[in-house]
Amino acid sequence: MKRTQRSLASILSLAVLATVSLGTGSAIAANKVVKPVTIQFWNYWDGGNGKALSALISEFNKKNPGITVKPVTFPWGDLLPKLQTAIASGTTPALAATDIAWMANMNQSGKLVDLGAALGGIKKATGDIYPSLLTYGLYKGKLQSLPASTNNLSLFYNKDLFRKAGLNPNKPPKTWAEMRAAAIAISNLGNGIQGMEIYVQPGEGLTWQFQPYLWQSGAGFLNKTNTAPTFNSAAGRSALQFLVDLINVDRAATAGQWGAFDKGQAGMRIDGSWMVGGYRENAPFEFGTAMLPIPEGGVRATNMGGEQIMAFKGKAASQAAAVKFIRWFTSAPIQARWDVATNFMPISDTVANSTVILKHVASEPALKAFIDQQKYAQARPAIASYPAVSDAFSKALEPAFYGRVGVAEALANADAAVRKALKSN
Amino acid sequence: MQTRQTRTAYLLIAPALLLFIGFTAYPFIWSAQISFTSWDGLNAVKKFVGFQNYIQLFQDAEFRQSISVTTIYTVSVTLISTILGFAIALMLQRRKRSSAIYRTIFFSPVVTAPVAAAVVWQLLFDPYVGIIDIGLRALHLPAPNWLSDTRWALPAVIIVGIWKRLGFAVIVYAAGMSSLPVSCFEAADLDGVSGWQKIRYMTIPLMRPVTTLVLITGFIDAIQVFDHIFLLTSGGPIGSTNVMSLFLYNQGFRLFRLGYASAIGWTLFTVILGLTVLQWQIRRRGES
Repeated sequence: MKRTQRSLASILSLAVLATVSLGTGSAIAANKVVKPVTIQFWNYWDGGNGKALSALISEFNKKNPGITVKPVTFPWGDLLPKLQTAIASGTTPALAATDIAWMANMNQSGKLVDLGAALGGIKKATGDIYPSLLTYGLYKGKLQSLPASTNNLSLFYNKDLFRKAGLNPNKPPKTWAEMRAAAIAISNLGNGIQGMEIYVQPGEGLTWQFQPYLWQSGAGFLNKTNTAPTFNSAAGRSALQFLVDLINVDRAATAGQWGAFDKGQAGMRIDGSWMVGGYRENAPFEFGTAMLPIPEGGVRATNMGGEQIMAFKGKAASQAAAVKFIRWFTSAPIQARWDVATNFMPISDTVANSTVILKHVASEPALKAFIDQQKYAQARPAIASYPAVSDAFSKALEPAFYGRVGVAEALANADAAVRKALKSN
Repeated sequence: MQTRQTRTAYLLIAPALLLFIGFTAYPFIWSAQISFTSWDGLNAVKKFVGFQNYIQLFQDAEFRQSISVTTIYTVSVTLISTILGFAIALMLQRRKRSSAIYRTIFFSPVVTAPVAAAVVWQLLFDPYVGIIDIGLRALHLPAPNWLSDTRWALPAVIIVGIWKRLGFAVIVYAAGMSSLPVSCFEAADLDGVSGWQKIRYMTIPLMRPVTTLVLITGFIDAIQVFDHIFLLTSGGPIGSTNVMSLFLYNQGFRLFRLGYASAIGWTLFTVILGLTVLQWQIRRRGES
């Protein structure tokens, strides 16, 4: 009996010892896993958007004790040069969110983590994210980034100026003809007030603001294979003529720097949903939004903007932390809160139909136009030569707004310049 | 003993030398290498294209426009700021008591952050709320839309360039004038030489080395202008303020053409080097 007791005791003690040692071992192993890792997240979200991002990040950091994500914000124009330098010198951050227009170039860098593989397959990683948004992240069959936000262009109008000009502030223009009439009425108020503010500074700003007019009139931008321009057509010319006439015939708009609408010096402009929050807080006038007016017999169309989030190849721990953050940030509940804080548009139906979003839209009527219009948003060509194409296009159009060249000549010049730019990369 | 001294000397210059190699010499040579490729700054492959970037550059209408804009900007800013700087330094010399305050005022733009200065100038040039146009309208003069008008954008950025440069010219001229031999001027006074004659035949010739310095540094400074033009007009409208450095920036960092941008950089460098050598030659000939 005693013997049995003794052997039982020794077995038990061995078991205890084994448990303790195993426990310690797993504790050590666990310690290895949660070895604190700090990663940088480069982005260009400043102001209210930057604050919203910081708040979400600190929440993530609290929930994930081993990981510290640090947001690093650059001005929009600086982020790309910084990333180029970082890629060239091998000092990339673990995470970045960039403009969708840059994605074709980022994809070619060979430095992005395959998120499909890291998140258990492309289908699992993307869920019901809108397919048009996914085009920017897919490269050679791999998913290299995920949509972090999306948005579109709608019409903003100054209700105070509408009233002053004798227009109904609750009836924004629905067609180009109505928009033209409203612009003329508002510019007749004098004192340098513009009826409509048009973006005419060369660069992607001009291109992305003008593309909706092209699409609405039935013209295209590039062909389906992105190998040739399609804007130099009768429809394309009518789109450009409409804006050029607003400036040079109706004198209802001025070719110049952007910013008159913000100061209450212009009746209308087209812009993105991210402006809603800022105008609600700071605009020195009452504003409204509407879907973009379309020409007689035209089709609904707007431009799609947004950012993609990506992880860069690096140390295993940093890479794992970055992927974990991306999974969390692109999840529906977080995206819904992100959209509420920033007024960006939902990236999927799950986000769009969440109670958080539905409640927010009910409380901010200016967002309705953007939500209604998102389904008409068209993506810009996701090709590496797009920045060169857009630049060439905008530079050829700019002189037309100043009345230096005719509409037909400007579009013919743009056609030649874009063909050349398509071959450049 | 000598080896020890030499070693110490090398040790002392090592930090500066390493920084120079790392941040100036290496990127300098590297950019030359890049200028012969079609690299976009992101792609893992740097495709060699020979002299294609340089050939394309000289056929590029935008490049030719940027050369003429840069030339007008550089010549205007350098000459006007030098002449004004000389005149103001002369005036300050006569008001010895208050000159320190004036010198501080004139020098403050030189040390003002370019971004802050550009934001202020943007407000000043604003067609709606800008004090310049408000003033012009009050005087019943035409008030141009400075930064949006192809005729006025370049003069506007030239005005800002002169404003930024003037202080340096004033300080250097003021320092130069204070070291002029007082006895010569007193002798001239006794001989009844007029004020204008003293400036024409004494101050200007005696100030020639200072003028050379102000002109050369002003020229190098102006030809590389970037910040306030980038912030005020971004090179527009219709390229009317598109200076070479802005053209380079746009090609490299907005259009992903780092190879082409490097070729622009090397061309700009060659132009600056050539013109500086020419200026020195002219100066030397003048001295001899």
